Amino acid sequence: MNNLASLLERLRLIFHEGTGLLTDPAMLRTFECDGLAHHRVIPAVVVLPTTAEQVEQTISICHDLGVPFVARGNGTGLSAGALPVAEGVVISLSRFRRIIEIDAPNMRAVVEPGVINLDLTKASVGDDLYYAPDPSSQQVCSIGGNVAENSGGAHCLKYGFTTHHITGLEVVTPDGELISLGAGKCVDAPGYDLLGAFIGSEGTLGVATKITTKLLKRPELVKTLIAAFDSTTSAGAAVSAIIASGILPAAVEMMDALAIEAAENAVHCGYPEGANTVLIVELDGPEGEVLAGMERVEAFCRECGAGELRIAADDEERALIWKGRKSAFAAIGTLSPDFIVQDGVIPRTSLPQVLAEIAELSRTSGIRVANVFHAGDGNLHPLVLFDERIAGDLETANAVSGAIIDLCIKYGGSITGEHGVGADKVSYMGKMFTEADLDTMQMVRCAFDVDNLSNPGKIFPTPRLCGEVPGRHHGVHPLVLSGEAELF
Amino acid sequence: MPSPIATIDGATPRATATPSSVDELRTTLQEASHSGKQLLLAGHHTKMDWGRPPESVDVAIELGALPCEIEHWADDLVVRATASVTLEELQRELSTRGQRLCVDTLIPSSTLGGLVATAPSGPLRYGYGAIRDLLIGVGAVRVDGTLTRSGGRVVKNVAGYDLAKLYTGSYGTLAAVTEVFLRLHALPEESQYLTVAVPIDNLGPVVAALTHSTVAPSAIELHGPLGERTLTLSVLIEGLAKGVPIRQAGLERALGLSFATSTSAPDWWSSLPGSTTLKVTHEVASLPQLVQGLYEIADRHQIHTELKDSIGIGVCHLGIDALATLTLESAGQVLGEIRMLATALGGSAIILRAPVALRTAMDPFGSIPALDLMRRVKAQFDPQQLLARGRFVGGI
Ligand SMILES: Cc1cc2nc3c(=O)[nH]c(=O)nc-3n(C[C@H](O)[C@H](O)[C@H](O)COP(=O)(O)OP(=O)(O)OC[C@H]3O[C@@H](n4cnc5c(N)ncnc54)[C@H](O)[C@@H]3O)c2cc1C
Repeated sequence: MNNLASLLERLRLIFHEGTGLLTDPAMLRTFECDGLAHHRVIPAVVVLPTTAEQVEQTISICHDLGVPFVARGNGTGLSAGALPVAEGVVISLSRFRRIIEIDAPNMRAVVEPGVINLDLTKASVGDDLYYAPDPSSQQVCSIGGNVAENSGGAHCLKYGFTTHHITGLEVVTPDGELISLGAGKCVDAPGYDLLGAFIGSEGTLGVATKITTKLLKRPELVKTLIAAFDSTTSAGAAVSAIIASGILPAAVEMMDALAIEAAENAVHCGYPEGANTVLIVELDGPEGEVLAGMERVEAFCRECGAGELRIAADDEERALIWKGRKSAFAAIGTLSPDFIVQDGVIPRTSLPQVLAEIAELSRTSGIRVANVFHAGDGNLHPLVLFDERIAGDLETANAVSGAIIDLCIKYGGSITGEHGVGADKVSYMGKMFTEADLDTMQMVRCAFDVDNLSNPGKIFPTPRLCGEVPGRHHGVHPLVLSGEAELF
Repeated sequence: MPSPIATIDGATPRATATPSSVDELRTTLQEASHSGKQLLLAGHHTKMDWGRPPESVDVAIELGALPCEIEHWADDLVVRATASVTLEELQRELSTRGQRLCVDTLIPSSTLGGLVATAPSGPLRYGYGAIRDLLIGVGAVRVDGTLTRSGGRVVKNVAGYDLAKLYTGSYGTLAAVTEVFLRLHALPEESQYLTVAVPIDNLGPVVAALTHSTVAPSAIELHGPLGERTLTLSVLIEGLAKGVPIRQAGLERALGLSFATSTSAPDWWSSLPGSTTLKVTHEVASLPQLVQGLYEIADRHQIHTELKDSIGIGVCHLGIDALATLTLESAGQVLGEIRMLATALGGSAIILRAPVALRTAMDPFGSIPALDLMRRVKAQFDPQQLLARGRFVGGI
């Protein structure tokens, strides 16, 4: 019996074909990519577990047979992180999605990995609590996916990323063992911080089956300002002035003219008319602090040349401001049939130089670039517009997109601020890190996944051969077996 | 720099290496690991009595002699500093630009490397996160002499694994940290410490009101000897001058208490209680049960216990110097009871620091989930188990 046949035979003992286990090519095709649709691979099998035990059994089978597996949340990733392996299993966690507990006194929640990010906040509203990390995709992405990507969001300037909001995980390791990492509802479990290492590991260290998160008290007051500027440079100067003054806004977002145009087309968000750049600044916290802070923010904006400036009078106005920002990616579709979303980071103070260089790249290549970014922390999301039907356009757009990432590295930043490396940015890792850096990271991988079965091909340009770990025995490395690598 | 270690937890290292550059450190490590020498990394020796006494030490490697460098990108609120810089030196430099690292100086003259390796938990963690949360990049030398880096100088960065978290709190058993990149905050315009006595029977509502308040304190600490039924609560409010008094009033309303205010911290604020110190973690809302349970244990064994709890974080430090004077059997019993209590409240209890006899006789860390995986991590980084063998959890 070949590997696939014995894999299926064993999986059928756990899952119902057609509901929990998919093999029909038409069904499999719906799992071929994540939000970055130009990377596509059809997996051999998809399973849809609803319990940790099923995940454990699935991974144990994969481990026994040397079959690679890829966890998938809701497939909104933008780095081809959930890209399947052709001869492998996709473990889709989208049905594994109960909110197990909202523990208001301890300000924690316990959820299954498939829970949608926003649903957790909705479930905590009654206790006047919320889950802070808020990626723009929060209505659809899963918390398991957030954990794997260490996702951010507009408010991570003040509140941090997913890693700052997770205190415990239950994980099935790549050899099929169910373990707990972190301290449950507490902090500081004695020993190595494997929780911290797992978060952001993009599904390469195993599959999270239970997640304990922090919940925060809703702030007393939220104030949101939108201001129009005549250039990204003057808006950038306002951001610098605000941050240098010691005010820590909940969010600082910037959009340039092209991005504004797209957002207006798509959702009629009513941004200041004719603005070259808009700046959104949100303060939240105790009333006294927010009101005093907002006075200063307003003054800084005016000093830096803000034209029209308004502060949302109520939740509805605030929601509209955010609607424009959060729909920006999708809205680009109104301007261009195809686009690439970039996700680089630069030291915030390099913003003017980097934006000037991006503008120059756009001018010389003839490829339009719309800029949306988390201006408070220097996380750029340039949207590189192209038309696949035009010969050579895709290649030029890819070149521009790559050149933007090179710029981020040149200015001392990062190739990804929140979308992850996935399969998409594997080739850039060697530009940001040395061989020794990558080798050291992969030592962690080897501790978790000797056989390189958990989401292989992601993050690292070349897999590390783990060698014999004292006290552990394993079969021939799959890469050796397939002739892709030799042991020496 | 202090003079090199004469004895470490009773053992005398056969040799001391004092590398004066990262390159020298690399060579030292490479050579030592080549010849299979047992190694111990040290900074300013302020926490050498943390963890288990290492099994044996051939060479103590003094990292305090590495060059001190601080590169402050004030406008980005980020700093790069070498591991030999002390927290006080760093804070002094940052303050000239109106900034700080939001980490408490719990133990004077700690190097940044030592701080990362042991990750002590202080009051400011409530408002700003722990060291792990502020450490955005790290440079380290592996035991085989390889220089490696993870993270970087930008706050937002998800490229590759977050090894900074792995090194944080690893007690020098994985690699020698040589430089750190840290996220900074502006110094607050105004700070007020609000203090009031709280009867321990009234802790429940106080904890609930504090953790669920919208006043956003920077720190909430509870302190006092366990013999009395009243403890001191002190809350730090920081922010804009206009906002602080309004927030104080809000907190007083929410708690139904009125505070004594001061712009300086109570003297116990930035320290760990006792010279034998336990760290107990617990679910935030279980503080009243923890305090009651500890009170009973202290009473039963007639031991003086000083408590300091970071409310809202769930980290409680206990100064129990009497542990060191009890028979090992009684000390073991006290520790066992405290561990049982902590476990029942979702957490754990470790011996943070204590005389060598105590840490030799008892496992400071207790039982650890996922220990096998931790051993595998150690085996990858340090296959010969040369770095501080035996000092960490489960004999790692
Ligand atoms: C319109 C749009 C806006 C976005 N905005 C943001 C934003 O503001 N900030 C941001 O950070 N991201 C953003 N994203 C990216 C994306 O939503 C996040 O990366 C999200 O966390 C992915 O969640 P998912 O459930 O869709 O995961 P998937 O895409 O299915 O998977 C992502 C990765 O997680 C792994 N994975 C999934 N579940 C698990 C698990 N249980 N255990 C282990 N590994 C697992 C997968 O293997 C894969 O590597 C946006 C995406 C879109 C389409």
